Amino acid sequence: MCRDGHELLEQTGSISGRCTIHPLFFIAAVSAVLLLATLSRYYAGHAISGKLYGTFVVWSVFLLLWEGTLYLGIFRSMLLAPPSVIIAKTFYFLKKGYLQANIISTMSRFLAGFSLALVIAVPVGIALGLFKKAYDWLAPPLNFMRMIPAPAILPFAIILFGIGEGPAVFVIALGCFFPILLNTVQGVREAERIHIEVIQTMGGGRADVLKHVIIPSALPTILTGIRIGFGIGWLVLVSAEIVAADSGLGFMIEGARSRLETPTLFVGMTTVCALGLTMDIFLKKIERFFILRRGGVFLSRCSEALKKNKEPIFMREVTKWS
Amino acid sequence: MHGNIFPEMESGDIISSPFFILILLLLCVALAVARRLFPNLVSSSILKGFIVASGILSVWEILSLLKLLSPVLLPPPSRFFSNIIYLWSIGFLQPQIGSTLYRLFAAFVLALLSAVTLGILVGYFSKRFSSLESLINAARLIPAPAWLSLSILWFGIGYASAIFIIWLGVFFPIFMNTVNGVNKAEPVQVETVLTFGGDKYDVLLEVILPVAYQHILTGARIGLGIGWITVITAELASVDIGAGLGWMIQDSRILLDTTTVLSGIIVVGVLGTITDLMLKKLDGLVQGWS
Repeated sequence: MCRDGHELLEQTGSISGRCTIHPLFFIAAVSAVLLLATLSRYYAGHAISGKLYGTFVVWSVFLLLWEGTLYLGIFRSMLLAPPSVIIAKTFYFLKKGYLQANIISTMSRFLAGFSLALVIAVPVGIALGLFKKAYDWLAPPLNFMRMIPAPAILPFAIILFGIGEGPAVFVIALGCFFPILLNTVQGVREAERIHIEVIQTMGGGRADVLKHVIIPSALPTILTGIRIGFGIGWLVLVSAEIVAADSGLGFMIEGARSRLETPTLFVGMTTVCALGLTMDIFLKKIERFFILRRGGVFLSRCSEALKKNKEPIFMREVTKWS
Repeated sequence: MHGNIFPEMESGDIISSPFFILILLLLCVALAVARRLFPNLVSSSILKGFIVASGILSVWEILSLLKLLSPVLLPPPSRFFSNIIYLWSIGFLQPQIGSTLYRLFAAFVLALLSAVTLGILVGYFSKRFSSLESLINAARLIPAPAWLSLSILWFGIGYASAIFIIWLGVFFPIFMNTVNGVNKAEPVQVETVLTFGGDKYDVLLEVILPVAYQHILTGARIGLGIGWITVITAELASVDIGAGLGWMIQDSRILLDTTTVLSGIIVVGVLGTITDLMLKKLDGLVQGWS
């Protein structure tokens, strides 16, 4: 595992290897795509919808302005890398394996923290949702702990676990933990009384109630909690890597800043954005899959809620619970 | 730093362990009595929470007294509570709290103003802005701490770079919620106002703002949470050496002063709770008023 990929890069070749995409070529390529989209919009209107075309236009204009102003020297390129250089750099890093190493270490750290939170928060949340008395007693301290921002715990975690992977994983887990826990409690509590009573009337025991009513009906809320937890965990991950890590995308960004390598910094930010986007889409797919699979009366209700609920991550939070 | 200035003063001496447990017990009893006398003032959740918290702290204290916990890694609660009093009394804590809150509030107010204005604009003309959606989404999915390095590059070390990333962190939740809220305004109500001779401003004031308000507040509460995470990250990464609770925590960590680390965490938690409660109270206030 390459710890500081940057050293490796310096040994194998110049880190500031020459940009292989000429700015004018980039501008020409983007303009060509824009032109192609416009032509197909006007001559084959059914092939490309208005919204897609609008998105094309917005992105092309954005990229052209970004590249053009830097090419003309309106902004200082030291503070803002042009997209052509960012793309060239990304390919260069991919070829050298520098980007992959950082992505792998970021993702393994994140998945470790996230799954730790998941494994603890869901069972504890179900238990707290079932035993209302216990939750009444524990809610205020949990509330207080939720209000401590996870990065504030990071230095304490470093003292406890020593420098290394421990503190980062712990803090990420802490960031994901509370949204998942509180949503699970909320979901379990919202289980319909009648459904529970039906199972009991039919002679089902506690295990049956849990298996057939509580967990299925809590699942959408739990999944929402998981998505919010993912958002917060992603935030905390980058923060932990910038403050205390020796690998990963956050470390790459912060290292690039200290060496004043603006293109590398932008490559890191773009990669973080792309990974976040991928995982958000993936979680949305899982949410949809589980909700659709349940069928019955809930199906229409949930899928309707999903259709209406276009809010992205960070946006949906159960605010009722407190 | 604080440890170097006053090496001779032991902050642990202010509250001794038995005294600490006694205070916790007395406070529990006092709260229970207050609950009996003024049931409206002291809710049962406050009492229960306080009892659980004092229980945990007392067990921690007793374990430390029995030397089962390392005083370096997990100092007893009495020590870090007296450390808070000590740091306050020498005037060290106040400027840290001040600069953290200054950063947070400056960015929060800026974000609230810009996000609500832009959100109403984009929400009102959402058809025209629909092609911007993917660009906004891409910007939103870069977590605010990832902007920190770029922000230092742009604005240098100091207040400006911290305020920029906190603004970014707070902006998007409020913005997205405002757009969402504006879109939830009922067309029937809009048309009613228009039918009765109202113009666009009437629609904005009478229909859209009241509907969007609840969403804006939800966004503000989520944004505040993200703002706290971001401000502490900026300070941990030493965006401004020598100011802020995050810096105090990080600096004490380097000095292995676990007591001050925990004091800082407690202070951050208390401030976070207070700011969240303030937003909640504001919600009740405005709802009662309208």
